[in-house]
Amino acid sequence: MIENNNETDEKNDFFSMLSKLPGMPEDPAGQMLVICRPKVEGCGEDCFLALQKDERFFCGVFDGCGGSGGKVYPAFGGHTGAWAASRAAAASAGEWFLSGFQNKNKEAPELASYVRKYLKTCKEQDTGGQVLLGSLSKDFPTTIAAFCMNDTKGNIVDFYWCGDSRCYVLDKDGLHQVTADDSAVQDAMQNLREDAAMTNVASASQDFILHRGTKKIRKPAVILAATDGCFGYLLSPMEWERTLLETMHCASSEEKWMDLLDERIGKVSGDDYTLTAWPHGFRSFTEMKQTFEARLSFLEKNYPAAESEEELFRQWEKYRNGYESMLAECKEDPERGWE
Amino acid sequence: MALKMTYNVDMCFCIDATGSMGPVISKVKENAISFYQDVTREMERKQKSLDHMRVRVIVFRDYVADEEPMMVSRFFDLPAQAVQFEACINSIEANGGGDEPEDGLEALAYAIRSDWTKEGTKRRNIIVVWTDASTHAIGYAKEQPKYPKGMPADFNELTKWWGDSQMEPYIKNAAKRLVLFAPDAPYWKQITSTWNNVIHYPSTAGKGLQEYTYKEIVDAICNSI
Repeated sequence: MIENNNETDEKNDFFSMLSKLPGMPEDPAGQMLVICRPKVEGCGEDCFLALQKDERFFCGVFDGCGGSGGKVYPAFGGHTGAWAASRAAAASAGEWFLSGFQNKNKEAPELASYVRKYLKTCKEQDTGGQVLLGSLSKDFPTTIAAFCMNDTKGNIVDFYWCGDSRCYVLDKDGLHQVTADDSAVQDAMQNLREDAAMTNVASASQDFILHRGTKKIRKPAVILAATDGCFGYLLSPMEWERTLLETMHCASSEEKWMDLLDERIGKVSGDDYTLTAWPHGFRSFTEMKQTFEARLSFLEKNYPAAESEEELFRQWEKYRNGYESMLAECKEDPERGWE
Repeated sequence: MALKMTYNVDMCFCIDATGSMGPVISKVKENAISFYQDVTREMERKQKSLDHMRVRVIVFRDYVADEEPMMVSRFFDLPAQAVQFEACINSIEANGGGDEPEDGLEALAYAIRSDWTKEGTKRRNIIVVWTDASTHAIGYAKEQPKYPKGMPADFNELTKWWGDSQMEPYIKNAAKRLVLFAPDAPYWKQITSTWNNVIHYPSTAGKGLQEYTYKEIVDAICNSI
C-alpha cells in the first residue's frame, strides 16, 4: 500500500489515497448499482467499494461512525476519524480482494486482518491532542457490510459484516435481511425506534469481529448492501421493501431506479446513505421489473402505509418471518472459523 | 393520517457550583446555554430534524458543607422556554463545597430518574456533567438533614439505576447518553470504564475546554441522534 520511506510522504500518500474514495471505478463491477449520498457535501462519512476481476467481484458499504468517531484529525485534512475509517476499511477490502489474485495459489489472509492493518495505519497518523474516554468514544470506527462472489455465474455468495450496516437479498418472495445487526436490539422493527448502540464495530481502539457467512442464493435476485442511512429513517422494514419495489416499478432502467431510490431515501434520511445492488440472474431490467410485479402488488395489498403504530406492529408480526428467513440460515461457517 | 418518525431529545445538565468552580463557572454556564443552540445548529447543518427538545438543570455542591447542596429544575421546552432556561442557568453562583470531593453522584442519581419524555418515535436522553472535582461515595452525607430520601444505597445500586441492555429501570438503554466533563478521578473513572454509552472529557480545574474538543462533543451528540 505505502512504499515511500519518508514518514511525512507516507502520511500524505495515505491521506491522498483515502481522499480519492469513494469513487466509481472506471470499469464498474458488471451491473453493479450504487448510491452514495453524503448529508453534507464534502463531509460524508460513508464509503463503498465495487470491484470485479474476471469472475470474482466484491461489493461493500462502509459507514464511519460519527457518534463515536467524531474526533477531528489534522492529518486527515480536518476530517473526522469516522471519515477516515470508512475509507480505510474500503481501501483495505480493495487490497484484500486484489491480493487474492496475486496469491492465487496461497490462502489469502483474511479480510479482517487487512481492515485491522489499515485502521492501525489511521491511528498512526494521529499526532495526539485531547483524549476522549468512555464507551462512546472510539478511534476510527466504521461498520462494514459486503458481499463477494468467486463465480459471478454461480449462486454462492460470501457475506461480511460488522456493526449495523446490512446485506439483503431481494427475490420474488420479498426482501430478506441476511446479516444480523451487532446491536443490543435484534428486532429490526424495534431497532428503528430505539436506534440502539452497536455492540461490535470495526475500529482501531479495540478488537472486533468481522462476521462471515456463506449463502446459496436462489436466482434471480438482487443482492444489496446498505448503510443505516438508507433504511434507518423509515417506519418499518415493510416500508423499506416497498420503497425498493415502488421505485423499481416506476423506473425505465437500472440507472433510473437508483435515481428514484436516491430521491426517495433523501427525503427522509437524516444521515449519509450508501447502497450497492447487484442484480443477479436477470437478462434485462424489464425482466427484473416483471419478476417483482406480483410481489409489489402483494405488498400494497397486505402491507399498505399504516395509520397507527399498533397497525404497523401487527403488520410486522406477519411480515417478519419471511424477512428474517435468511437471517436464521446465514450462520457463520464453523469450518471457516471466526475472523 | 400517515405515520411519520418523530425525534424527541431531553437533556439534563448537572453543574458543580462549588467554590473551586469559580474560575470556570462562567464558561460552564456559557457552554450549558450554547450547548442546546450548538446541537440545534449542528443538527440543521446535517439536515437532521428535531421535533421536540427539553432541558433541565441540576446544580450540586456538598451535603455536609452547604446550605443549598442540590437545586433541581423542571424540564424547559426549547426554544419556547429559552428565556426561563437561560435565567435558571444565569442564577447559578459558585460557592461553598467544603472538602474537595463533591456530591456529584447524587446529582447523577437525580438526573437518571428524570421524567424523561415518552413522546416521539425516536428519543435521546442525554445527561451532561460539568465538574472539576472527584466525588464522594454515594451516601457519604446520608446522615445530613437535607440528604434526600430514596437515593441508591451504594455505587452498585447507582450502576443498576443507569442500567444496561438487560435492565433499564429509569432510563431507556438505547436512548441514554452520559457526557462527562470531569477529572479522571475516583467514581468518574469507574463510570467511564464500566457504564455503557458514556463519553468522558477528562477536565482540569481552572482550564477551559478547547474548542475542537467541545465541537467533538457536540458532534458526538448530534451524530447519535
